[in-house]
Amino acid sequence: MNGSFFIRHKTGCLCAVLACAAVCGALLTRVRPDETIHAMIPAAVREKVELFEHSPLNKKIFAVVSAPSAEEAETAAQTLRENLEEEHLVRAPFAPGPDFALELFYALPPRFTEQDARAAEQILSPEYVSQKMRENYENLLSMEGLLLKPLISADPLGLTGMMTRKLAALGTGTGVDFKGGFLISPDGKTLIGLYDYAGEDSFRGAVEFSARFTRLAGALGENVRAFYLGGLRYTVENISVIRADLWRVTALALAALAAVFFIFLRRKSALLIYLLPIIILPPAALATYAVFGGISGITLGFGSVVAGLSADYSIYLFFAMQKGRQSPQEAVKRLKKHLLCNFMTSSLCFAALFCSSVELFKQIAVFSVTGLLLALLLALYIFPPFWTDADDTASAPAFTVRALPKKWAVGIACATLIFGAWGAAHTNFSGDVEDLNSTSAEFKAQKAVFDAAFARASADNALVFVKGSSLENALENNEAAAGFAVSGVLPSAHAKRENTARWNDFWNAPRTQYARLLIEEESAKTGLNPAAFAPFWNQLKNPAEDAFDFTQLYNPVAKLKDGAFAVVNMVPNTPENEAAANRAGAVFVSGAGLKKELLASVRGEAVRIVFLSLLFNLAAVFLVLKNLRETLFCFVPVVLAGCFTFGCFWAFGVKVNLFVLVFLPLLTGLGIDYGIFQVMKFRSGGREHAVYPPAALWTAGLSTLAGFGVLALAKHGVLFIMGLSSFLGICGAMLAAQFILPAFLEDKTCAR
Amino acid sequence: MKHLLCALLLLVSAALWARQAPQTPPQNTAAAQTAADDAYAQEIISRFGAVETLQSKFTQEKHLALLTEPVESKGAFAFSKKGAQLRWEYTEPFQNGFLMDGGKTYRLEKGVKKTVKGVMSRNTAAQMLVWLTFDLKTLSETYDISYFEGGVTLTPKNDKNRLLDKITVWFAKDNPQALSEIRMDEPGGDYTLLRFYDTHINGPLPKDAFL
Repeated sequence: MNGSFFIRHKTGCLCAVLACAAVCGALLTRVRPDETIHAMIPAAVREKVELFEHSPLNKKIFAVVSAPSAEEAETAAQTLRENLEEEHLVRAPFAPGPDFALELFYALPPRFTEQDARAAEQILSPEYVSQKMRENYENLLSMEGLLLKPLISADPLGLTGMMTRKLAALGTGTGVDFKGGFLISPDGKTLIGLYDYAGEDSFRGAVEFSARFTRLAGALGENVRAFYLGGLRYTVENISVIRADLWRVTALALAALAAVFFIFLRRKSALLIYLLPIIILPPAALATYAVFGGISGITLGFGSVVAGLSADYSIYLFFAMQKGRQSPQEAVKRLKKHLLCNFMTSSLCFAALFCSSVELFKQIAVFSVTGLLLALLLALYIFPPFWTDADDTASAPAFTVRALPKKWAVGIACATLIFGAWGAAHTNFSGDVEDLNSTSAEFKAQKAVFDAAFARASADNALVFVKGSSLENALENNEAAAGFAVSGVLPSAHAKRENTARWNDFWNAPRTQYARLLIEEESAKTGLNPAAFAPFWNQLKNPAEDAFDFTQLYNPVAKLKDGAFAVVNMVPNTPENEAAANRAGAVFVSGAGLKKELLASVRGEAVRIVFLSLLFNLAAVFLVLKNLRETLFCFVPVVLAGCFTFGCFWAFGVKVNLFVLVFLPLLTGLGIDYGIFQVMKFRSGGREHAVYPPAALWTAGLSTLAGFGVLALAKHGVLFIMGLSSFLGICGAMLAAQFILPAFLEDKTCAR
Repeated sequence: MKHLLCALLLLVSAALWARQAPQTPPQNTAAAQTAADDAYAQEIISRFGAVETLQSKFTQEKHLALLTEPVESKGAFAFSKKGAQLRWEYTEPFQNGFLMDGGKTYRLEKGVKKTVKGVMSRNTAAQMLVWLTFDLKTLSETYDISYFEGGVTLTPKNDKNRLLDKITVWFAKDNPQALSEIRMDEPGGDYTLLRFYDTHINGPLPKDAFL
């Protein structure tokens, strides 16, 4: 099958291509894009981020209430809790009933540690028993006596205190004030209720929750501010923003592309160039889905970028045919090498991106290379036959561009290099996972209130995840990693057996007899009836089966993706705890540490991607041009554009997240493409000027900018930084290629 | 515990409105009895609306299996509708009790106010209001209420975590606005008897009553 086949059957071929695209589009509607941030995290820190997301608190809804006074805040938080429960928006949190203390007492034997045995030894003294029995008597006569009576009868010595201390130890040293089911800020004016979401597990459910919560919060009073945070809120914020962005970006990209069409192309047949996105994106998305078993919403958002890039091949051919008066076969023959070179450089840049440990980058690489390959094939075989008609060839305007004088070009290039070096050294790189989410200004303001009240508690604490292949294994490993309080209340089956045996051993006949003697003596003095303590003696002799479900109070067990389990311990964020966790093979995660690691990982990824893309391209371009000087000239636009971009990041105080990494290889590819365009044009000593008109470069650049740069108007943080980087980078590359690079080449005039 | 206190307060208050309680049912039929009870309840509600302050002394008798013999305690309480304040305090043999002041609850230990750990449940405050206003509709959700000559019996509807079998209140014969006795029967036969005397209605309360 040669070029003439496509010329003879041009309409049939186009229809077949459109039909394939339609089928792929239909299949694509069945694909549900992944809208979480999982795919965006580098492998080095992914485990920690995922563990962090599996932590029990991470799944909670944090209902934050703040008011001018602590009393108002408390009342409002209670009201909100009631209303949330009443409307079945949250599951009612566990509220200890009157028998809770009794449950704790009966839960003691399986948790009776050596330390508890030593403490119990201490309390078996006449003094302690005397004091305790007087307390029991006073309590019985008070109004609380009605509630305390069963506990006094079952535990006259107050052994339950051992269990309450174990519970209290869970928050020891963390500085977290948790009372009455609320986390309370140091000034008491901000309270956080922790709830489990009870609604439908979908975006619609999340949106409905959000609306109803907002209504309830609004009814709390003028002085009260209430909002909620947590995974559900991020879902609402992220998905809302991504969906809105997709529509906005697509509409703006189409409008910008239309503008480019009317300025540079102005031919009906050139509209084919704008069919490219419709034709190439569905199969590219499906190919990506097939490779990874899923596709991120961000990858699909990247479609506009691929659309902009993919148009370049067709644009170059269109102008070559129009300006050079070439037949399709002739134009393809003369430009084929250049287009293949362009495709190769872009693909190599994406290959570098594929070497990243970030799955999203790999997805984007596969998506882009597939799209570009399809675009190249369309440009070489399907579209050219449609551009032979001389219907309105004169309508396209002619552009004349004059390169800068060499001195000016050198001066500007040097200034840009300095600007870029300074910018790269001073740009604000963010390693905050928050930056991968996209949230509204309102959310950011609310988060600031939360952070102001609880930043200290958050910064001072860390989570230690002790993993195991099964729940039992995880609990055993947690016990082996001694020092973490969760083991005290949630022991493994093995530990329970050991502790119960210790209890039985401790309460042997002589010791029980001694305790009975002490209690009976003191009972006689105070007026208590010793016969009423039968439940106590029974528990000493035959401890009840363990029925205490600690997880209803707080569930520290996380079930992981791979079927494994992790016990989550909240500990003060200290080097000692980190060292203890590392010794035990546990994973220590602190907010600050995670940010630091993410930032280091991002920088490592950036260096690797840029290095690889430059290396790949340098080798490839040299192989094509077989001339080192020309090869290096091809890199002038990309180097200057990179410097211009990072200089602008610094100058405008842009906070750069790891998604700039996507842009770096793209910029490399684009910049090199523009460089190759100019080098090819000038290397022939002017003979090929007709097939390399400046308008082709402008149209290609502006088309890419139309698809790419509009992302800078997105509200999603990731799309925004990609768009902004692209806008600056493409502008820089275009300007460098048009005005500076020609000054270094032999012929400084690149007229029409 | 707070429910119990609320119940006690209700009962104390309820006694105040018993002045015109019917001595015998006017009808023999169930419908007539219901109508009479409703009228009685309405009358209680209207009488209660007039009570702004209340103070009284009491004795408490505990008859518990945990005690070798019944033990008597003494004390006093004060209530102010305005500000939703209540002070319940024992004076013998131990000096302790509790104080409710608006939305806050405190323990009293030898007359000293100490903050109760934990957040005061607004639920309880709402419940308190129900008792104070004698909202029979809400009250009947938790208790079966029956009337007898000179008193009221409240039986918890829910058996879960049931602390009391029933609460019986007797109104003072010589003062229809005063409470005579409350008996709280617990499962297992234990019971507590509260006897009220020296009761003052709508009189001025000491300035430090709730301090």
